[in-house]
Amino acid sequence: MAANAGLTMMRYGGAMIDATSPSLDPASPEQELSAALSRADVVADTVVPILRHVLSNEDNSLFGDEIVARIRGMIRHLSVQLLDRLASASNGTAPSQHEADLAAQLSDHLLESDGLVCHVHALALEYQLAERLRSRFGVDPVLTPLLQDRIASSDPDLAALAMRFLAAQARHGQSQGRMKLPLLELPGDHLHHALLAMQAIDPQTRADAAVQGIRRDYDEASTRLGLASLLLARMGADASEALKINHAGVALFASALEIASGLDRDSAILATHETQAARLALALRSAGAKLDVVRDQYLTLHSELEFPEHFDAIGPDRAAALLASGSSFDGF
Amino acid sequence: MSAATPGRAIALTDGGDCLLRADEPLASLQLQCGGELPGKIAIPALLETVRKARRYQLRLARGISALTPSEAISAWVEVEPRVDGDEGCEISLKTWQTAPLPADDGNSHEYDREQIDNELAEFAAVLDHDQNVLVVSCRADDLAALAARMEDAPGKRWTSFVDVAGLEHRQPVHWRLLDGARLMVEGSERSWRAALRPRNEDRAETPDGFELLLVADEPLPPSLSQEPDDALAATQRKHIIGQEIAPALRQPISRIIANAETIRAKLAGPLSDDYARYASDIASAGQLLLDLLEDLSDLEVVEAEDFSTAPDRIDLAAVARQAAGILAVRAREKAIALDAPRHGETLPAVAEFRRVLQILINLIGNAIRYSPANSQIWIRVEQTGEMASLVVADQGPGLSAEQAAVVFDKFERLGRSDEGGSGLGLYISRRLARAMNGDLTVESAAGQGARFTLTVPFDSEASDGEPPPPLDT
Repeated sequence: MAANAGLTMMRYGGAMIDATSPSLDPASPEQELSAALSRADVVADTVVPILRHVLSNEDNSLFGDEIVARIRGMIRHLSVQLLDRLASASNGTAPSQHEADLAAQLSDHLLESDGLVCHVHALALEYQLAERLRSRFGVDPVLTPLLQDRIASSDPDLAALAMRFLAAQARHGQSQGRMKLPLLELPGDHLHHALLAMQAIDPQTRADAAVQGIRRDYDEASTRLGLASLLLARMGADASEALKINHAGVALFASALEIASGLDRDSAILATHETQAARLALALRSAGAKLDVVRDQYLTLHSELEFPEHFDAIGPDRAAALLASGSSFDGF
Repeated sequence: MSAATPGRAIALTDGGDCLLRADEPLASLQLQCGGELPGKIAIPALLETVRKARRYQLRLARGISALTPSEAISAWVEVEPRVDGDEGCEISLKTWQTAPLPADDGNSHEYDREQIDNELAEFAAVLDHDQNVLVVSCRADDLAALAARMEDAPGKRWTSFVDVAGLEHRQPVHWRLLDGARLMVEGSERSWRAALRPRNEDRAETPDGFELLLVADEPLPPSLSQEPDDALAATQRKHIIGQEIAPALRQPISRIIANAETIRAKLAGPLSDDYARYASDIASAGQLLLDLLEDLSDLEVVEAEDFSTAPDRIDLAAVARQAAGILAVRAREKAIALDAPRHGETLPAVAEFRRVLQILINLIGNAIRYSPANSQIWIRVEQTGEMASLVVADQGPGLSAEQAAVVFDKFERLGRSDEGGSGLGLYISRRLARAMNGDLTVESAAGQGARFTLTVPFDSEASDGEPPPPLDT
């Protein structure tokens, strides 16, 4: 995992609606009311476009109801796990009922991290895409052809590693089905943020004890994403096989695209969305995929779109350069 | 890619992300990336992972990649924060793969080469479709002769001006054969390469023109690129402060002063008075430094053997009025009255305007600095025989005979230790006066004020009432 540096595309940071910014200089009541009114106007003006966007009938919208529900569920689950850790650190007993407002408070803190939000959003998209490929092409989200090959490998280490990834992927599928996300499955950067959030709502020593416990239990190498990246690293040059999404499955495809193109994994998943088709083509090209492989993935994911003309003129270097310049502005 | 090396290389880092020890192949990579062992981690991706693991106190596992001059390395590392009290980490290696550096993409390589040629070309010419020279531009001294020959005979084929290697008889050759050709140029000892670019975009077989670039294998040796004028170079080297140090220091010091003034004036926000006073100290110390720099540059100039002034016909009375005007504000701050020559009063002299003004500002500035408040400073001009003289007299403490004897010495500050000056002003002023065939003297007695007298040659021709002829200098 090449960290989240650089090419993160999604930026949800910065409140769109900021109704409570305090004014510095004391003004007359009339001025204050007038300023409050203009802030209220901003909110009122955004209601319809946001609603229209949210209510639009696209199944695979980036902000569909299902996606939002999944994100909410995973964040909520992370909060509950953190509170459980806090509770057991304080008295060693079984986790008790948490106060609802504490969980909400913690969720708010978690949502402050752009990286974590993007990650959870990407997981929701990943799950949705895997389900779509299963229904359309019959690709099993867990046991993919590539994984079957590796499990049957004559290299026992590689076969064992493939089995461990298979198990992790199966567990992940079950969690995702329940809109959950185990805390210790987070990449280190996001777990770090989660720990900071926990310390923010509970600055007492029991938070420190809980943090120590989580650090002891955490091992990035055994997370699903850690195992995926190790598996691809062990595959060496064969890792390019994973750039075929129906052969490798969404999970390994996204990790392979991350390693080979330099997009971070969350952005690589976002790139599979139909609004990001150009980015997908360029990312695959910069990952060194041959032209027919790029075209196949493109059309597998976006059968309704036309493959870009003259794409063959763009070499991997040029694609990487375009990709890097494209990510400097928000969205396509 | 070569096969993965099985086994785990172990390395240890400390709280400052230095590799304390490392096994192969990590040790070699560290050295190839320009690092030392033990030493700070020099592999960027590894450094980032180790730094995060240490900061988060989490076991991290990442794929990292690195480039050496010959290979692309990709590895998968696990980094575990050490629990033994040291703040470092333990690194273990799960996979290690090397691959030759990716081969250059043909097109982009060509593109890169063109860009490099554009940057390095020291000679460019526009050719017509027959490769005849239309326009040349040259920035290499050793090709100036070639450019001149081409300009003298426009419309001739460029190959007739140079010796193209492997082109014995100067027959028209297809341009593709000339692109990249080695050639020698009369007047240049360097070996050149020609880059020929067809000017039409659609890559037709017969372009309607070309751009010709000449790129050398090596830069022009320095002995050739400069005029071999040792005497000139020596004089230039002598003025190190004025020509090299002062220009480099002036801007940063000015910025220090400007920023300190901003703080002193509390422009950037409210500030306690103590801090405003410190800023004021910084500003005045900076100003002193700047003055000292100017003085040292001047000192360097006046002490050079070849120092001379550029005499001109000036009006000494007008220069005195001008100097008094420049310092009027400073005088008014101390409520000192400057009594300069009246308007209409003139005294023609032969001297360099700029230097006389510099001397007067120094003399009047000193008088203001050392005179009591509410006093008066007189500036008088008069003709004394062949000389025009100017007197600056003040009501300050004056100079004793001993002080008057040394006041023109270099770095002489008469025992003062305040931040008034460098002790160079009068020394420089006297050197300047003498270089203009004049002099600078002082008469004084303790308690009776000081009288400095500047003399420069009187301009007798200008006093005849007719417009004076220009000076032969």
